[in-house]
Amino acid sequence: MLANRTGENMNINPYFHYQPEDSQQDKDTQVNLNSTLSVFVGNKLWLEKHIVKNIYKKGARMLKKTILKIALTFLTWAVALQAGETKVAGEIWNRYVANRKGGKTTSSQFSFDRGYFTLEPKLSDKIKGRFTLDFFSSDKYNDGAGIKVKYGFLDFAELLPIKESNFQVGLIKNYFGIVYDWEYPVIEKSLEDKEKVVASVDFGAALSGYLPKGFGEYALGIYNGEGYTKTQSKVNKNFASVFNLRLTPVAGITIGGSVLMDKPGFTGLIRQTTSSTRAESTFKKVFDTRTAYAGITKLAFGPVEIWGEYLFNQYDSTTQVKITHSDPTLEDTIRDNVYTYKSSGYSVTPIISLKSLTGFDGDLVLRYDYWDPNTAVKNYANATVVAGLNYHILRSSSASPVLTLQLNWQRKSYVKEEATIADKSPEDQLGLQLKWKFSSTILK
Amino acid sequence: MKTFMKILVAGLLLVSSTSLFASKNRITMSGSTTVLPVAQKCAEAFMDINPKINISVRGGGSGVGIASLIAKSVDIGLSSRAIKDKELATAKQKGVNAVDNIIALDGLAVVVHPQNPMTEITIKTIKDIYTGKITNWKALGGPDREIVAISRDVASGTFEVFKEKVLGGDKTKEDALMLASNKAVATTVQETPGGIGYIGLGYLSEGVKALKVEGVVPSNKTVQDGTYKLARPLYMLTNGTPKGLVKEYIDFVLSASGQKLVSETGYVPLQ
Repeated sequence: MLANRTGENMNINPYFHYQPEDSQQDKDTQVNLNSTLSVFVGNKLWLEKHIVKNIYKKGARMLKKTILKIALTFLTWAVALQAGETKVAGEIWNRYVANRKGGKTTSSQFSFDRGYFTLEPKLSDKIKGRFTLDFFSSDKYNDGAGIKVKYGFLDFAELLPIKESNFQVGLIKNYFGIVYDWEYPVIEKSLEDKEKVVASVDFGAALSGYLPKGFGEYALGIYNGEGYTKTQSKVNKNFASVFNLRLTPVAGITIGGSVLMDKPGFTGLIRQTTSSTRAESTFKKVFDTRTAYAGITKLAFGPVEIWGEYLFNQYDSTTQVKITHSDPTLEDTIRDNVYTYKSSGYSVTPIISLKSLTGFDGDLVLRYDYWDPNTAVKNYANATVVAGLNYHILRSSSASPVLTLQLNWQRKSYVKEEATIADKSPEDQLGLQLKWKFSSTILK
Repeated sequence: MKTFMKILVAGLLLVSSTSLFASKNRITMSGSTTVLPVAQKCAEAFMDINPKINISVRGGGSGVGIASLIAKSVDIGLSSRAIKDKELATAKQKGVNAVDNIIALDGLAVVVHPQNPMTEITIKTIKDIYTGKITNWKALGGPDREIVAISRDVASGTFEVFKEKVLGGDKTKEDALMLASNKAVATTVQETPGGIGYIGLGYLSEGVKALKVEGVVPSNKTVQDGTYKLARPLYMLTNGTPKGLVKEYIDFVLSASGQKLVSETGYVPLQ
């Protein structure tokens, strides 16, 4: 039971609210605070016991995590060793970022932004697996780094009698918009990933493939819908469905689109407040509905490649509020609250390859994003300009970059949607990233 | 948006100005180790005729050749298999119109040690050997000796063709030796009395014995007339219809002189 600012008691349904990732840390802090307070009550024995218990709890939790990680790793290796062929791959992003706002530097730091470690065992000619661990810098954890499973799926080639089709099941790519083949020509994520319209990876199953003669590609999948960072109690019973189609009628011109339909959130009691005179309960009787669309264009002529994407996301939410009064002369009321949030935006990324023009193995990259998080409210939209230079220092035998230096400058400006709104300072970011990969195939 | 447009225009101006200085007197190609000997021999002859032109030829496998063409890092991708729909789609999205120019034909000769008494084999038997159903030559009327199945590695175009024409959807048995080149397969079979392998016709030598497949001897004639079942075309893939120097080179490969070199390398000329 918590109390809000007005002194009313407030019951929060834990099933509805997502628990933040660092909530466990908060619990630890709370327990430690209790331990400190007990110094003042002089109960030394209790304090010692409590501290030992906390250390034991923390240790046990860390041990559990470690055991889980080791077990997963060994399990994967065991599977890999049974496979006829296993690809071992890694991708590491070392980054320096400096942020400025209102003429002041707000941060300047080096980080280990990403470290993917991948095993791809080939179990047969038509079945292969992929298991990727993602290591990253994070201040959410005591040791300054975190780890999560990024991919974990089986891929069945031509499971259905469709030529060059793949059926994937597990923790898989989200085939929406351009997030599934975004090659990070700039340091920033794709628009749908950056604005959290969809997660890049989710639990589910998808069928994907290519149309004859390279005419295009397709994918359809069902997912949990909450993304790869949400599991168990944070996942509802409804699946999200994704349809994706891209057509390339002639070399260099690709058009396509994706649709995502989901029923996110949970039903049930969301909130209850009580006072001496009245009680107010807010319920969710039906699931929220969410529909997202992406329209994409890829143009490629000679050394110039342009990626374009338009995104639209609609979220419909209905809640029922029931108010009861202790005064019998007052009538109880029930009302439905219906909200619709719409967000939309677009992103354009021209990439100019300099190699064929100057001999310098690099790209000149520009990007412009516009995103209005809520089209119904006259507030701020944001516009981001990125200018960057990529230097591909090393390439693999198949010409894929394996060591790239990326230099990016980006400015995020807030676009007022009404003249009366106050100005907001733009934010500048300078980023320097060294991205390197390796891979090797082990034949049994 | 205005700032962005300014940067974009400046970038395009920079590109157009630098392109004025770009000149090229060089052809680059990479890919299939099967096509490599033909490409190399033709390149040497072509450079003899055109001394100012420099041709660079590298191997890596058909997949590498096609990927390099898509990445625009080579002018010609060498391949011993047809391009897949996935590769074609990726190429088109990158603005590469992959055109497969057939420059020669090749037969996959099934070879055994010269002392092996076998003279012919069926496609079904080859499949049974490579999938592990037949493990001893005795089962085929030969000596009581274990069969050592020798294959190309899964990244090679030769393996792709073998998989398509012999294995179907089945997997090669786990103890098969997966080797990185035609030459390695030929050498290993030559040194292994119980060995069986498959190689391009160009790699046939007295050190190994080629078996008839379905009663047909692997030869130029049987590959050209289509009676030999384990045959395939060899490709030089280009971005669009060949132009300029690349066209001159491919025209040379297709000419009577080039096709003579194809034959000398051990492959099958188109006519």
